[in-house]
Amino acid sequence: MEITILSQKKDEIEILIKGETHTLMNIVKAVLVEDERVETAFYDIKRLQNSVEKEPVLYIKTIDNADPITVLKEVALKIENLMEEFKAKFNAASS
Amino acid sequence: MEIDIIELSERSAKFILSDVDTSVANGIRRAMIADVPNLAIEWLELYDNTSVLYDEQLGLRLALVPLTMHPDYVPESECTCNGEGCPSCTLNLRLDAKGPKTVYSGDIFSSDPNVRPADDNIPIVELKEGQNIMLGAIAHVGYGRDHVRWQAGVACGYKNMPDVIIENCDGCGHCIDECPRHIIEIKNDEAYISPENMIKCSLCRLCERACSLKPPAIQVSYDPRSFVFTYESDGSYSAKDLVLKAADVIENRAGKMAEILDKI
Repeated sequence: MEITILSQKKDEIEILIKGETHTLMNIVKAVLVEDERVETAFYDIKRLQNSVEKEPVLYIKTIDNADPITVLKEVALKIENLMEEFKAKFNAASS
Repeated sequence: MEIDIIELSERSAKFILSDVDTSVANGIRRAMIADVPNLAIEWLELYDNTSVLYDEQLGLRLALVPLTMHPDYVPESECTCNGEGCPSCTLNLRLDAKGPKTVYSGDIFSSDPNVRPADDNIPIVELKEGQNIMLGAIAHVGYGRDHVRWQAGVACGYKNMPDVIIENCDGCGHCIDECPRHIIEIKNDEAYISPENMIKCSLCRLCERACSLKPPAIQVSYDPRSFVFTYESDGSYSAKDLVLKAADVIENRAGKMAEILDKI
């Protein structure tokens, strides 16, 4: 995974997450939208300039000048915990 | 998040995943199909092929034979040998057969006792008198997103948990005749669906249309945060390991993302 910041302001950010697919991006978007610090968040799988491959571009706008990168980092950790929970619950249910 | 397992066998499973967003269910489904590492034959060294199949066709059939996965194997691109080929990223297999006989996947001989064809009864080619096959094969670890031969999860899917509400029913029974899953019955002069049968509903809404009352006494809806998940493994992983591995893949990616963002 490679992360490139395409544009950045105090409360909004547009980043290119190279090598990712809907698998992770859709979860990231869903968790971001649920976050109360986030005003809007969406992603699109785009073909960038001269590139042949399509890569996801994520856009985040926050409320009250919350740092979008910090929010996104916390969301990534939240997804890690969510999957940890999934594995624990599945193990518990199957034993 | 709640998980309730309905069926769990070596090759297939069915469970209810509730109180999660659709993206989580879809992420796990996608990861199972495309992102779980799996072993499959990628290269062949043909010494002799006098069977009726072309070399390429034989190669395709061999590649599609699922092999049991051993966690020690890593994809070539992630291996310490930089893709040159070493025992932790390549596996050698052999197939020698002399006609007349039908060659089955069970005839493939693997050099690693931990890895073998998941099924022994997959027919590969029928050899007549005087036809021979002698080949060496090299299996690599790959991902389902690159080719089906590496796809570990098959028939993966989910549907929303059905929720059929029956109110003010006159017990005419039209919905019973219409239901393709035969899950509606009459109880106390009213249509009734038992909780075990509710899960079988395909949300087709034929019962709603068949109802003679206006508005229909039977209303089909679903829980948007609850999913009935079904999937099968091709035999490379057990059904339980497959779903856990898929969750692992998503967890690792999210972890990697957090790690990179930490450095910005």
